[in-house]
Amino acid sequence: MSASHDVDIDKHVRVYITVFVSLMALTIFTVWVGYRNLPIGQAVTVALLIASIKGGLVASYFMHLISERKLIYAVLVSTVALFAVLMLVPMLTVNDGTMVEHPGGVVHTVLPGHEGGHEGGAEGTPEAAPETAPAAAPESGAAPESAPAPAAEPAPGGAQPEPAHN
Amino acid sequence: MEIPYTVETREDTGLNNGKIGIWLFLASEVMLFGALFASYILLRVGASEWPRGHTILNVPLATFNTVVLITSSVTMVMAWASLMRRKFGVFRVYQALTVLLGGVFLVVKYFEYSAKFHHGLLPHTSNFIAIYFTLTGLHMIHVIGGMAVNAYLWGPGAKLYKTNPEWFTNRVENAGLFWHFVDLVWIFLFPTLYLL
Repeated sequence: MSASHDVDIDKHVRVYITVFVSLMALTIFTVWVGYRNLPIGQAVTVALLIASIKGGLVASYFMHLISERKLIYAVLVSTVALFAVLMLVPMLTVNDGTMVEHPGGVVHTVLPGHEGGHEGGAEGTPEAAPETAPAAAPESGAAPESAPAPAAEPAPGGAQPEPAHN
Repeated sequence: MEIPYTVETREDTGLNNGKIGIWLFLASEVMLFGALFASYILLRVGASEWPRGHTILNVPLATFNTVVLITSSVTMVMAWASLMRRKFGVFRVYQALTVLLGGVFLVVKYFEYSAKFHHGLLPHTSNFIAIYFTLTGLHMIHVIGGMAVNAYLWGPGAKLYKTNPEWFTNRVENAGLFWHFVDLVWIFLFPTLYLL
């Protein structure tokens, strides 16, 4: 190995150490923000922003993307585009106007052409909600066995009521 | 028959075949995890109640595991840098550390899963717990796969270094790309599941 090659690798190593320290600092910051109990919108924005910075550091320096060939970028651009489509699918599903929230808090999908049927009858009519609730419960975060009545205090995600820290 | 373009680059791509292969594989992995992240979003926004992760999951343990995985990414890249300097002994140390840190991650995960089972939190308990086990379980399988490859390159696979050090270095780089991807996935899983 030539001396200049070794110097080059030494530079790389220094960068790796710097990235490592940055990732640790960002991890601590993520946890600190997580415990601040920010409103969910802000919490999601901050958490994903920090995760993106961390991910960018790993991809750029540990995976050497910062100095990679064009073909790799082409593969990744196509992947990112398809990934974006994949993420948009749930958003479109949620915002297509078919999601109806019942008085019990249960979200239910009304399929086109079935508005007048069973699902249509449930749309906003309190008496229909108990009929649809059992079927819809597994789609929500609530567990079937721990959500006896919509009026009851909901267990977090249907999990055991008490925090399950180990 | 000799495998072509393991060290030398192809004229049309400017890369060796191994590197193109691993990046295409990682692209497919992005879609695999992407589908599950999309499922998570769909379940969450469609639910009337969804818990904040830290009320159910163990954040200190997961933070520790984040530190472990990031550290293992550094040891992995240091293993590659050692090979670039043709310091095989140093490579062996860093590679062994990478595998060991992967093992630490799995041990911590074992305790985390055990506690969940002990508290009766099973995949059928709720959608939150189901997606938690699905995402972390799939990630854990990737950790095991990465450890197996890294252990092979530390042990029997290291024989290649004696006959073709450049090829061996490329193999370690490609194994490293996979390992960093596993770290990258965890960087997104950690806040998504444990903190939000």
